[in-house]
Amino acid sequence: MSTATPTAKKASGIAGSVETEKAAQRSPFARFTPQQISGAVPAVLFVVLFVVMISVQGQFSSSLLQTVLETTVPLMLVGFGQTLVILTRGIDLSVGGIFSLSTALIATKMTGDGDMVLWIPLVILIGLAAGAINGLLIVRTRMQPFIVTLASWSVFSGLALLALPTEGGSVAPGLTSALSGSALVPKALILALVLVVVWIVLRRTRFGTAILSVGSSEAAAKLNDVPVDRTKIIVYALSGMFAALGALYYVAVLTFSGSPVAGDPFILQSVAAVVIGGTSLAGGRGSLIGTILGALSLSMIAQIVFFSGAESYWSQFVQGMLILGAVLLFAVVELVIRRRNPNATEEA
Amino acid sequence: MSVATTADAPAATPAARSRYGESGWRRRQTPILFAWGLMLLLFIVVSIFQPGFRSNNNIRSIIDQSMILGVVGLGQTLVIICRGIDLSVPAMMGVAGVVLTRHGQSGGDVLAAIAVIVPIAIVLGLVNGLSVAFLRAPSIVVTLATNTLVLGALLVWTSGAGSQTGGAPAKLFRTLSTGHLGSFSVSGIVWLGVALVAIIGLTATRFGRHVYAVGNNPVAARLSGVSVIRTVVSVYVISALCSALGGMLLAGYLNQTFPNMGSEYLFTSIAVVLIGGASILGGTGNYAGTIAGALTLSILGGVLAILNLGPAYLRILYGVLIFTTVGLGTLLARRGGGRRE
Repeated sequence: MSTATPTAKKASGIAGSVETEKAAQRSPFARFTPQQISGAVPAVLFVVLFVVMISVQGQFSSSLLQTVLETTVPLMLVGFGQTLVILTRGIDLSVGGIFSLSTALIATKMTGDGDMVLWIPLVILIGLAAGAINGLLIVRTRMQPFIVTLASWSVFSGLALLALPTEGGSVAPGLTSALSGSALVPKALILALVLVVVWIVLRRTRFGTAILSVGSSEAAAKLNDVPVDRTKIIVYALSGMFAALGALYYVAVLTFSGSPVAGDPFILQSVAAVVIGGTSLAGGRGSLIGTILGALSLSMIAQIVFFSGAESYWSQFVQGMLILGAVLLFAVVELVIRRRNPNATEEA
Repeated sequence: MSVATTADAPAATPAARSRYGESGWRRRQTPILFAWGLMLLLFIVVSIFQPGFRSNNNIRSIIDQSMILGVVGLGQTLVIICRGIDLSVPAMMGVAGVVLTRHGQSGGDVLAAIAVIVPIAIVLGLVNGLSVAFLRAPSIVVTLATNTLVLGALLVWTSGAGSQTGGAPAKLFRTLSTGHLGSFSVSGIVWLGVALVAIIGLTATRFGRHVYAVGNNPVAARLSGVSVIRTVVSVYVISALCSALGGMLLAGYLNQTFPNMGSEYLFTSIAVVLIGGASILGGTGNYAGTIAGALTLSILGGVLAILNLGPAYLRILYGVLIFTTVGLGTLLARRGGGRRE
């Protein structure tokens, strides 16, 4: 195995800064900033998949647009929270449990239109509280986010099984008609645009800055009087809330009944959407718009596979290829950044 | 920093020193002792209330249930010590199980099946390991991607049908996972062998020291001459091979296979390592802890079955167990001085 060469090259790269400069200039990414690359990749991917999808189906119709958007909205919502968490250099695996728990509660408690007044706010609050518990545990015990949210995923999905042992239940028809279908444009499109606007506004608030600075460097954030702990707790609470919102939409528009394990696929899919969207797992850099494009790309693959007549199992395979390709591409980008800036801290 | 090296410590690399420093050693063994204590306490308490629990038959079934988790958890232990995580466990288990039942009904075909499974595992481990070590991609996403990819490929290959048509797996793996020799369970003997190799390999070989050195501090390890890339890649390859073995054993245990057969091991393989006292930050933990973790999980499952409580309570208890063991470990580590950031 020729492992010696890259190691040696890296060592010399650290030693001489002139060589480092040269290495950076030689690389094909040298002309672009990492922000440009991580913004361009999901956009290009989205456009390519969109074109492929339309050419496979033969025509563009607003019902196709509606289908794609409606199947993606839950992942967009969960992905919103996951993006915020990952921007602070954390991870939230409990979204699966909170999603399942919300699904179970909605399908068992919110079956009539009259129940909506009480249960829509309650489900959202439970999601918010569940997420806040994650945040508090992470901040107070100093345990790793991965462990805390893995354990709480287990607890929340256990609670979901208690609330709804097997698939079943139903949802208030009023919620379904309020969220699905299209008025002038598909309602899902409006929801997606609302999310983008929320992100753009959030990004400009003090809280938005705090998220990015906590993710870039916690120590520096502390020195600059950024309320690190509070930011983290809010971010995890929001992630729980978005998981609950995703569940509301999922039950109301897509399944019409509950499942105690409905949330589990969303754990890995939300992380995948965030990563394809160009947000760095190292924290501090990324965008919700990327996550939305990533989520749309993942569901367009399923559509393309469906329309091309291949068996649906292909979509998982192609999605795996896409995630792997994206993560490797961004890993190379990160390597280039690190080579340009050798003083940056080494990542685990 | 006072440097108290024990006799078996290797030449003084900074990483090795801090690991083998006496107070550090004791601090790091505490969570593992705690895991064993918890497991034994659980077992004794349940045995008092339910004497049948300590019957030979029940102990054997506890071991049968936890052995597969123990084998898969070995790979996960190594990966976690090296600061990584392997989420591609379920896919590899599914591939191994399904290929085994498709090829391995009669004795000769077992070898044919293994000849297909082992190269797949090595390739999967290489892709995971090289992406993590060479490209420095985050292990959680890389292995999540390869898991999706391999499981997708398996579904395409089997058209989702699994191997109900393929029949039962080879007798060999049925025996290895559920058979018994006199009053000893075969799986216990197999597991003992795996455990001995793992514990000796981790504590007494150069590879084992490299694994801890890389987990403690990759930069220091590289500067002191450890090939970080080779160590990390090996660890992911070993993990894929462990998952492959686990998948074949699970095929024998369940007496049937299907692509998603390994799905619950995604969570439990990580849980046993954490309960066993390893830190997700790398550099600590050993296989003895993982063994205790695996036994604890199946004892808990048995207890809940006695109490007639469903899987909901099991999930809740797993979560609580991870919180308490890891929380306690963190607390002990902090009180022991050398706080790890």
